[in-house]
Amino acid sequence: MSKKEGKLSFIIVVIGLTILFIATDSFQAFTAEQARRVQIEKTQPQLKDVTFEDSESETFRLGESEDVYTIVTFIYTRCGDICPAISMNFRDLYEDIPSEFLDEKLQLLTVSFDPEYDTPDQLTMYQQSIGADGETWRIVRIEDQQELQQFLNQAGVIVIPNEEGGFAHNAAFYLIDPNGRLINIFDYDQPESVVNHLEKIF
Amino acid sequence: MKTIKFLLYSITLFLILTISPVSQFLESSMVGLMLIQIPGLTLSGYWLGKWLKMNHLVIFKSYNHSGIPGILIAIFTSIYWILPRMVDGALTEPILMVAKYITIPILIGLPIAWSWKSLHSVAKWFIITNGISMLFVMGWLYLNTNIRVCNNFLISQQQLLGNILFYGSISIFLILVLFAFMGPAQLSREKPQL
Repeated sequence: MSKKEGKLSFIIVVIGLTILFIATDSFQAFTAEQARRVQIEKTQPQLKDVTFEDSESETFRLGESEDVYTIVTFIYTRCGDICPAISMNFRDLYEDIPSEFLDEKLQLLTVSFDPEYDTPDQLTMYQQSIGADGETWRIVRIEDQQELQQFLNQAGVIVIPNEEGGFAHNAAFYLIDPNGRLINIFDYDQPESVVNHLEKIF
Repeated sequence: MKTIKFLLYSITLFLILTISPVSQFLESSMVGLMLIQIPGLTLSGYWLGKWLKMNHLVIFKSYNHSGIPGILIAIFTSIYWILPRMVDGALTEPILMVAKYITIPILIGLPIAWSWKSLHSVAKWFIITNGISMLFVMGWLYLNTNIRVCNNFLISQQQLLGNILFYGSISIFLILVLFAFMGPAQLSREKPQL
């Protein structure tokens, strides 16, 4: 290898590593899922308002509850794969949150992305089975397909049909601030990290 | 020119891979994407390089006599496109999709065609053995993780790809070992090209 080639190789290695460094957000994010989290924590995007319908068929908008933080997770009730684990962990989270937070500053929403099957009746059954109280923790759906898709896109949730007639989807807990900004995404298997974070905020 | 056929191969393969029914079909499964589309685009670029021989391009030749700069470009570009977030990105963002179709042939396939033969046999074996172990590790990871590495694919496809990579890399390794000990002598006794 000539000197010229040595220099060129060195330059290629430096450029190559720099590109990989940038492309992985400083070697932090190798998957789209991690990338999304890094991105969201940096930009804290403003979510477009959305209408939820709960198990009592009552509708309410994300933006209407002032001064309240919202923790959201996504499921569909027929799911036998990952959703039961998500909901169990969501319940752990719900139980670990100091009750004074829940009364005034915080609401939990389990959002179904399968509004066709998940009617309010279906949501009620699900709510009972996982032990949500229907007030501070509600099971909701977004009936309007366009709004649903927009909300999923903004949260970076990709839902794809699987072989068994259900869906595959990425799972996490999303923290939305009172102004409707998505400020954090947490692993669904670490409910304690959400509680720690909330204690810092409140 | 005899080598004009390589240009035809290259263009034909590229066109086949980019027409939308084929690309959509390949991109609908992880195996199609990682084991057919990406290697196919690489091969298309390789044939382009066979046609557009480096020796005709004096500047390139003087900078890539040892083949090392060229192969480094190919290695870094491959790492970039197998990052799971780039696999996802190239499926959802048009700019990345176009970038993928261009850079895989030009920055992976073509430099391989221009560099592989000039590489010292030690470098060749270094790359081959590292490549195999990387495929093995990737396969093992895909089989043993509970997370979906790519948001656009089902976990069952990830596991299928994991299986193919895992057992494929073991098979390739065994075949190479067999060749090294009892196969055609030229494979293991290559003349060093200094």
